[in-house]
Amino acid sequence: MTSHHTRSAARRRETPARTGTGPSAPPAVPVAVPSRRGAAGRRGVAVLLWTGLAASVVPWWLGTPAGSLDSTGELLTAAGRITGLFAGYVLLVQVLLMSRLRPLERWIGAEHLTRWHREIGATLVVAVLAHMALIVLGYASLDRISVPGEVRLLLTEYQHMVAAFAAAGVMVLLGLTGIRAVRRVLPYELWHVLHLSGYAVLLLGFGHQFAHGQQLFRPGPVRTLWIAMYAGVLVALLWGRIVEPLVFNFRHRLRVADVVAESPDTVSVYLTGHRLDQLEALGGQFFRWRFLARGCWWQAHPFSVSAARNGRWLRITVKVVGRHTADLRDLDPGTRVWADGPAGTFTAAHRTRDNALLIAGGSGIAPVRALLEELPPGAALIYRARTTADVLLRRELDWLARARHADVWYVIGSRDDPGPRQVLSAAGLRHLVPDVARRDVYLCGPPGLVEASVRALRRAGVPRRQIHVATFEL
Amino acid sequence: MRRAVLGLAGLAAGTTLLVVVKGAAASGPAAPPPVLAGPTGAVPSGPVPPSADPATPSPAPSATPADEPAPSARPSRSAPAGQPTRTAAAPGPARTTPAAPSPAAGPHKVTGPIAANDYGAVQVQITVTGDRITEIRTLEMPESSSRSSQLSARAEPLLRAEALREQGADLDTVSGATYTSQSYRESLQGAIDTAARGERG
Repeated sequence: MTSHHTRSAARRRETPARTGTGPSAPPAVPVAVPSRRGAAGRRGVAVLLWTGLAASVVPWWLGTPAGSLDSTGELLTAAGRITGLFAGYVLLVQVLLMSRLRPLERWIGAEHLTRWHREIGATLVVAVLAHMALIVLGYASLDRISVPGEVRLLLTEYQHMVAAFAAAGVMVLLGLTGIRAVRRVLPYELWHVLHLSGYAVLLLGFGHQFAHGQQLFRPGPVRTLWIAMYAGVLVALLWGRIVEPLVFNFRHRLRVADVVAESPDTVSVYLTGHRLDQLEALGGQFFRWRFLARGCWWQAHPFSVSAARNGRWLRITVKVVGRHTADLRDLDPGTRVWADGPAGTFTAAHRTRDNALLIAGGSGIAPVRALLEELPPGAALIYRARTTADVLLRRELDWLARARHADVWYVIGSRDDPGPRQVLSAAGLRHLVPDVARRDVYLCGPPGLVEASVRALRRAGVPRRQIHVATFEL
Repeated sequence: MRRAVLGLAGLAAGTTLLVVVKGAAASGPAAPPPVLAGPTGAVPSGPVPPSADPATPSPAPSATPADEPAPSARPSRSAPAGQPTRTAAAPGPARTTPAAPSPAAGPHKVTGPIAANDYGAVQVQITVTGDRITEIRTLEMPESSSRSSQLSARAEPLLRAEALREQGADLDTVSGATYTSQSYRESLQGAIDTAARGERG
């Protein structure tokens, strides 16, 4: 495996023009420090979503006469209706969070969006199961028939109910694949395709809400509003997933310019296109890249840009770890690229302090290198690499250290070696960066390194909201 | 993970809280029983037969609401989710109307009493030709909730077909629609009794 990669990388190393560490010329466009974005937008959206959740049960509250809940069956049915309304609303929120709508991306950011999506997902699955169980038990009690009998009744006599049961089944399956342990076993592509079946839940679950929902089956403002919510989410989805990427890609028309070996197992892909001076990507953000070449076009992968925008080219720097990343080495110049983004809050715009500390491990240097370019002067960088040969973009980092008045420490060795362990401990960090508790800390690297560093940072007194972790995990 | 647990706890607590608070609101002093307060609706809404007006006891054989049996079947609570007027409004006028069927030999219609249950009310109208029931129309079925209307839509044709076949009100209960079946039998039996009295008179 390794030898094959090395050979292929070596072939690329002979590419003329930019060999080794890429362009050594300073960026053409002077880099400006982006203004801070703050968390107001995110909090606003959160408040809005919570308000919507509360509002979604108001129809039940108003439509249920006091005193009507006087039997077990009625109580169970009422609880079933409440969980049903919750689930219907939360499902729409789940889809909205994944719509990649630009305002959501801007106010909340991909990392928070995916985290919310994952955390809400568990609740949604349980809410749907509770809804089913409560309604079946409640109806069975009201009808005075057995639970299996009621299930059969629902499936055979109620319209859209088979589809609704199917929707619940799909959702439970999705919930299972969302569990981290299961996720890690599945290849990303397979997992992603499976997850897209989530849209089927939206479709299959639609009918039964309006055919049997106590608050929705009659025409009226509630029903209209509920349908409007569905329409709104659908529009957001189409807009964020189709219209915006179309506009972006027709505007910029990205193509592969060159593929350069950075180390035996790491490549940089340079991209050029139209109007790159108007590209609004920030250092540290990522795009989902789809390379329109044979074997690659059908999958999109998130990679960070490894240089701040300069108006002339974009670059990603990728470690070869799987089949897809291996294919990247063989991209031909001129290959068209479909990009979806930019996304992510791992940027200078999301800083909360004047100074920053950057911690990178291995190929995690890519977004950190771009970020360093846009942070205010005076940042510090700790970069751990396994061997000196694995230090990526070294000339650029040295140049940035001078240009941006940054301190850069290269820490060579495995994460468990005594040297790196000492440096990345609470005492070690405080020793290198005495004012670490008053800095934003940006981390990108292997999960083990990130987790250990976050623990050390917390012990060193860095508040949680000052810690920014780059993650592409969905 | 921690947030997911919080979400689950919130879901359970929220649902329980809503149900408990709503349930407790009933036992509070401020909540009047909405059902029996229903007859505010002196104007019958829905498919109440036109001749149900007590002021003009119609001699016409077409629609003759009869006596109202089964007061015990009065709902002790509202039909789910409102519209209690529809259920409760009708009995008032209907009660005062004595049956005055004419002993017509040709087809004539007889309206059964309103039979209420916890989920709404059932009222049927039969067409009698000679001594046979030739048609049964359902004037009212429980439709106050989506579930009731679903059950009604399912039960009605089954009950109707069986009644026409059996020529009587001794019908099997439709599974899942126990109350509706019971009320249907009551109203149908009332209509048959009225028709029989009319024949005798």
